[in-house]
Amino acid sequence: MAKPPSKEGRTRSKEERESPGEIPPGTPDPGSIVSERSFVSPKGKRYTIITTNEMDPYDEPAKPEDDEKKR
Amino acid sequence: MASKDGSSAGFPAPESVVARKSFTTPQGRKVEIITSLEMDPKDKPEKFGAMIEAVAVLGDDFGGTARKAAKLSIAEAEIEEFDDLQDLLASLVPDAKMKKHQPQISILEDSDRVAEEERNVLVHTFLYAASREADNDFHLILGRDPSLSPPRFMTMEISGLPPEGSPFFEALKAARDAYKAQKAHFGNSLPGFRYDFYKPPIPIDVTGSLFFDMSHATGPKPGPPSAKPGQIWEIHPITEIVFEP
Repeated sequence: MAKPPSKEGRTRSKEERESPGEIPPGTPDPGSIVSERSFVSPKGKRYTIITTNEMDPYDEPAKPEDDEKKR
Repeated sequence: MASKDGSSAGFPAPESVVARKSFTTPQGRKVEIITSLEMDPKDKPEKFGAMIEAVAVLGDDFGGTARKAAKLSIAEAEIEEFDDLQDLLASLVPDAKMKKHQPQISILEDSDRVAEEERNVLVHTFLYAASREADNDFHLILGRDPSLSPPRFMTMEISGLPPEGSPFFEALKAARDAYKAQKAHFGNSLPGFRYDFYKPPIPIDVTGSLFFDMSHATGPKPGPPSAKPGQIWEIHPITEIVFEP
């Protein structure tokens, strides 16, 4: 009997990739999106650049409540 | 005529200036670019964020200190090739073990590569997101082919440059120049302090040296919340980068 494909390397099904409401892995949270623009690469493929307000956690700006505490 | 604060009409107040650089136009005229912290009043400053963004435009020189010797060096090893990021990650010594490394990995400036970091790798991967750091590194978040499960991510860095006398200067500059030359992939702009994401992720080949980011052994891991690497191993520095190979 053929072994099932390794879970670690399996291909995501079309349903998994396109489930309504699901944010695909590596896609920014909609609430973090600041702007979007698209471009065509030198190889002719169209991409979208999604600019977000996501940062590395240690670069997070101080929160307003932190300011209040300092006062 | 100078104003009360010492600035001339149309020029920024001296205390707002964070950088100056000059260039010569095609017509031979010398022009100075003055980077300031001034912004439209409707744009509320996000305090440190705005300041760090301004600092980040200072140039290409590496501005950090943690493990600087390791970050600005290239491992002495043959290149190992990986078709799937997952396989590269599986080949790494686990973070927990590296954190207890003997001798302990220092985060001081002169902390050089340890034996586990003496590896060069080439990985066929995908660019999901990128940002620029205040130390002039570009953080690239690379991941597996988006059709594969489970998703895995890793930070790979285009390093700020070492001093010109460094034996690694030319190689790191070539990689940085190659990245910056890819403006066609960034809508003619490089990423800023906040992460840009790419949809769909861009296929990319990355070569570089492995690096364990001991400075983040405690606390939150680097990376944006939406594409967070599961480990603090990085490729740092990147020595070659090819978009859409």
